Amino acid sequence: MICRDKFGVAWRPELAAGLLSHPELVDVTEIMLEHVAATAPREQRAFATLCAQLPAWVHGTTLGAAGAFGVTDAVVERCARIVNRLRPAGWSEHLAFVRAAGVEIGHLAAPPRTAASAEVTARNLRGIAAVVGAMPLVENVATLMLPMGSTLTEPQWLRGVLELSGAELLLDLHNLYSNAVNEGDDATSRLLALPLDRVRQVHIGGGRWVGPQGKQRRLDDHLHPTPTEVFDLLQTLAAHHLQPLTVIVERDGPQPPLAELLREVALAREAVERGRWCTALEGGSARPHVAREGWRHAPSPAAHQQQQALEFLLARAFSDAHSLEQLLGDPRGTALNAGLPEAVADTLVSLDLDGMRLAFHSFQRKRDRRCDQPGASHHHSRG
Amino acid sequence: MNPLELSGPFFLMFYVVLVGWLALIAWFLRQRAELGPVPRVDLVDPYRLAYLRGGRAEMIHVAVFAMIDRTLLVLAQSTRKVVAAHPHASRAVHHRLERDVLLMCSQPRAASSLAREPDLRASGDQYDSELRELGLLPDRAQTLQRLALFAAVVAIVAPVAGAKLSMGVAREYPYQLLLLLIMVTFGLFLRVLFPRRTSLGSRVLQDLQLLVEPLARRPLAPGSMTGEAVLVAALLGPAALPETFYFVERLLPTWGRQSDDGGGGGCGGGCGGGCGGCGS
Repeated sequence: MICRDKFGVAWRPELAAGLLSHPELVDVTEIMLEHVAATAPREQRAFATLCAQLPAWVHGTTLGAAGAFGVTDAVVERCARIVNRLRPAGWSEHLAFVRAAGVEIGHLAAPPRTAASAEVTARNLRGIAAVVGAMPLVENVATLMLPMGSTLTEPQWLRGVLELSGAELLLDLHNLYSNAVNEGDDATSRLLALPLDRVRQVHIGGGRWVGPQGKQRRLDDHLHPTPTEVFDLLQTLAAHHLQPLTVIVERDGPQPPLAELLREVALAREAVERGRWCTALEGGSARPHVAREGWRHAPSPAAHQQQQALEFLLARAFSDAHSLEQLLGDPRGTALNAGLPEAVADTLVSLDLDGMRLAFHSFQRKRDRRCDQPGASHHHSRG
Repeated sequence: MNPLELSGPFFLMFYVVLVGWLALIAWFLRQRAELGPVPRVDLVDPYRLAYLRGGRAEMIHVAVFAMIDRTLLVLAQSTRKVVAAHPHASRAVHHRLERDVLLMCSQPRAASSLAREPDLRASGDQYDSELRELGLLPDRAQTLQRLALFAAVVAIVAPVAGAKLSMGVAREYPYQLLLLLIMVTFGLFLRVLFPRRTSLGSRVLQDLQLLVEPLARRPLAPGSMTGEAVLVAALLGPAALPETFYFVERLLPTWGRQSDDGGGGGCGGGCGGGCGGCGS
């Protein structure tokens, strides 16, 4: 099989000298777009020089490409400036919404998975690609619960976005794993239900368990080592994916020694090699057949408005404790007041109260942490 | 109005403005001619970067630093002489420069004398030609361009300065200040037009310095992260390393606290940033 998989570590200042002094140890790196944007022109130039030395991807977190209210022109233009200045190997963004009708969540939130949100996300992505000059790889985001108001599964929704936009997938396996666990699903089945031929890049990282015993959920925080389950998923992915993969280890917060991250890179290499061998031994592609959904319809204006109302409710609940309690106390009434139809409001009666509270506190912690970081006042953390 | 007819102080003002403008234009033209796409530099070999920053002497200083850190060289307590840690130390290294330095240090010798050692010229010459090929040091064509620019600015300044000087001599006016200014002018033009690195070379060096600078602020310990520490030493100079590298402090007086002439600078919070996980 002729393919060249690439492995790398996300760029962090503490790792700079290590990565530059041992460029042979990684094939690729990833630079945070928002961090570059927050630096002075001279430092942006340094990142451009970095991109000439080491293949690098630019990774964005603030576009809110899956937002029903569209994307902010200024944010897209900033993104275009950075991508065009750095001339990276490519760039990527999250399939998340980060604001709704002026309410900033301060982090990446999974949108309600509906046909309307898939369509509006695809429309956003086409618009972004037209300004930036290249379609981003799009990354699945983590969520502590099934996003409120969802009518589609995560694989169905992702497939819809990819088919309608033409984008390719940056698959974060820890996000996939966390979502499967948090939604009571099997991670491998969820992986195999994805359009794997559209996966171009993979993120691996770690998280931790949160919530009371017996009702624990998986929080993706990138502060911990990549768990075994994620390497198993990577092996499965490699076994069903014949195209070259780029795998990037992501770690946030205090950076461990580079050697520790390189160990994860080595484990990722092994997992991909094992997966490739499985495929070779079976005599070719073991890709499961996944029926195409045939996403051709455009949502009605009413469906679009409904999506906006849902995201606005979620944005307020994730960013304001009073709004959260109001929603949790009377989900149906709050939904009706927000302009949602009765059919949707009725579904919110079974709202995941624990999940919403955990998500609020998670967002709160991330907002607080960002406020504590000097010079990090205006960009969203990501994955 | 003929500027040569200006009285002393006014002529000097005119002359300074003229020279300033010409230096600025010459600098701008040189920048434009020498900047281009950033080439891929082999970062695995830090001595190449040290050579780019400070030439042969800095390359050797960084090699000595790296080998002391790896305990291949030993620094004598009081004499500031270095010596190979064991007789066959040169067999333990593959890099030609390191091997040559170790062979020269089979007997204790002053670290400062290594930079003057003609037998260590070969590695430097190799880097020199590689860096010229990459456009980071001036090649023959760029040197000719610089000479042409120098000739052009001199062709403008020299007649004016020469005429005024001869007038001053003929009329027995004091001309010493003008003579001094003329010498300063030529020094300025030489400095603006003939730096050691090309504009591209200085840019690449400054950018790499910005990228590694956060590591220089971290508590590095000798022997624990040689690759990283050597890269910092190569790009920022051994003096940029923390005090835990005690041997650098002892060697610096013999080396001189050389820093590059291109300027490094800080990177604020460091180039890179962190994240926080995807989603809730």
